[in-house]
Amino acid sequence: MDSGTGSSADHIRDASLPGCARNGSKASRSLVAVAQTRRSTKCVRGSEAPRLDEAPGPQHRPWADLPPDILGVVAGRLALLEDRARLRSVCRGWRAAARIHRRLPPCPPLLVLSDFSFFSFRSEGTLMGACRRVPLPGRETAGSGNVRCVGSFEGCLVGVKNNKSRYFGDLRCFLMNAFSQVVIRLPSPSCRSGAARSADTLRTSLPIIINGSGVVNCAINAAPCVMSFSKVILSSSPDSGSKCVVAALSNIKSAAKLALWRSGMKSWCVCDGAWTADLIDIVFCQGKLFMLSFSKVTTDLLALEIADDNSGLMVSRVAFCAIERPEVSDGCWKNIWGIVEWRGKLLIVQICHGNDEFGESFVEVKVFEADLSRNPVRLTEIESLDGDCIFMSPSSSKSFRCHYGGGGGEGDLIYIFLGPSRLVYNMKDGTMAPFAADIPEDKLREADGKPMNPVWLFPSE
Amino acid sequence: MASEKKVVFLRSSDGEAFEVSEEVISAASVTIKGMIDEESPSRADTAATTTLAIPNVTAATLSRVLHYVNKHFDAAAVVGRPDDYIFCAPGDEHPLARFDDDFVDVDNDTLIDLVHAAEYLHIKKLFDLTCKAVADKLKGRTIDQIRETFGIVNDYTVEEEVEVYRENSWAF
Repeated sequence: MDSGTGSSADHIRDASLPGCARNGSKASRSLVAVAQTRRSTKCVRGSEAPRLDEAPGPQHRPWADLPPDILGVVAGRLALLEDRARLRSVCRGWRAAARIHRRLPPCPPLLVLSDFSFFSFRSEGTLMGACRRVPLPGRETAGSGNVRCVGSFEGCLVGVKNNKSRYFGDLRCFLMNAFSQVVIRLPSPSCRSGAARSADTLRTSLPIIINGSGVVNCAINAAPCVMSFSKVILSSSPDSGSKCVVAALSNIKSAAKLALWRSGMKSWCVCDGAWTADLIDIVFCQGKLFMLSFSKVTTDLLALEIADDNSGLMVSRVAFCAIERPEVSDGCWKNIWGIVEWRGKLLIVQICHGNDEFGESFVEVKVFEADLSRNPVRLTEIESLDGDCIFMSPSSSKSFRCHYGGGGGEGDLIYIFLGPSRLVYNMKDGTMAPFAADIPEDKLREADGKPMNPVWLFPSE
Repeated sequence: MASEKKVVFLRSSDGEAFEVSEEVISAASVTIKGMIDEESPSRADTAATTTLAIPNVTAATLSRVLHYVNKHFDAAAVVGRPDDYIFCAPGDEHPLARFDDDFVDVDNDTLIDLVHAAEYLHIKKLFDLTCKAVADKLKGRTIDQIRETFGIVNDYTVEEEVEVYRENSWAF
């Protein structure tokens, strides 16, 4: 791992004070300044404080001393992450209590736009916010080039910084805990020739087996290499060290590449399968990496097994899983597919935009469970997620059980934020509602006009 | 339903005694049910009513708590489900939803007393209701507003405040 501080974000959050030292001294000073400014305003109010202390009653500070058990129940009643964060910031007692709370019911995720501004959920399913941004570490943002967010895992975001424009690939890639701001740096997605010594280069070529054709070429330390990531996924928390496999999809100059990395590797393992697809999606499921690629005519699913030896990660086996393309309704003009893991199963979500015979536009959402034990893979349409929800975006998709403050919240909903599709699909009754319609269009485009891909952020507290 | 007539007295910390149906309070409060169960062998053969000391709850709070407990019992008695009246969730359509809303529409001092009483007496529904009421007072508020609402003084050292700010400033 190229950042010693990245070993455990939780650990650092749990340690009481020394964390301050980890910031650059400059950053610390500015934060102290902020704190002092805030403190000075407090002094004005401080003159009112004794009045509170003189309040009658045996309990000196009834609210500040609220027991952790009670605060835990109160926090569990707050459905928004911001509300919980503010609660644990109020005073020492409340902050200490937050550390010993029993596990709180999970909050709905935040929707982080590519520029790291974020929206949070209201219980009605609408989004609010976006005036705030996840603060980015200065070192990652310095210099020219845009930083954009291309993936997430729990409370961790994946950021990349491009080189002048995306056409030249990404220069930097990093994982950042959105809350503790602990950063783990990953190798550059792009390197020029000469940056790597050819003696260190490892190459392998794997046939795509089981009714497949073609090969997948993998290389570590190969130069030159130009990648621009569109989606980055993690197999587990970055705190788990080398067990955490990072898989990234690069889409540049109409060529899709897959890149793999784990802690300790100095370069990405870059895989090229000459994939020709309109869209590719990847997901970890059952210990393998699945890649769904579809174009107008084909829908392919590849199962990649990843081996780890001293030199790093390498694909060890690629199996082609034929899937029967489900029937598409008449009038469908755009079909979007996504894959997501749900309780160890692989789900394929199909979103179809079309016009019916009267010219009215419609959207159709179907969810299929892929039976991977068969080849060809059998897809079975399912109509329930057993109370869970699915959150989909081009850069992150996840199934999740979340509770809103009230009576447990609604389940079996699919929140879709993919290209032109921004909707909530209710699997129970097949209804659809617009979603996040209040996010202005310009928030979803970058300066170069390319669409921004939001990611879902699922912090575990 | 012979046991329906049985009553117990609860004596508040400031010495006031309140009468309540034993069946109701046993179903509502795990703590008091435990007290009654402990007492019962000694009073099985006597007609004398039991008085239980509730040292942590004042008369003002106890009377509110009993009002809640009785109200929830009465509502269920009408429906004819005496066994699960306490499980009537205060949902939107529930007849007691309005009552519950009004019940926790109180000042902060009263509210915190109710929270503590509900926790001590182990009345789960009331505890949930009061905690929800506290949560509602926190929702969407800034930290300064929360401190002001609850009379909490910012007691962080500068170093702690820096740390708190770094961890949570995204939400401020």
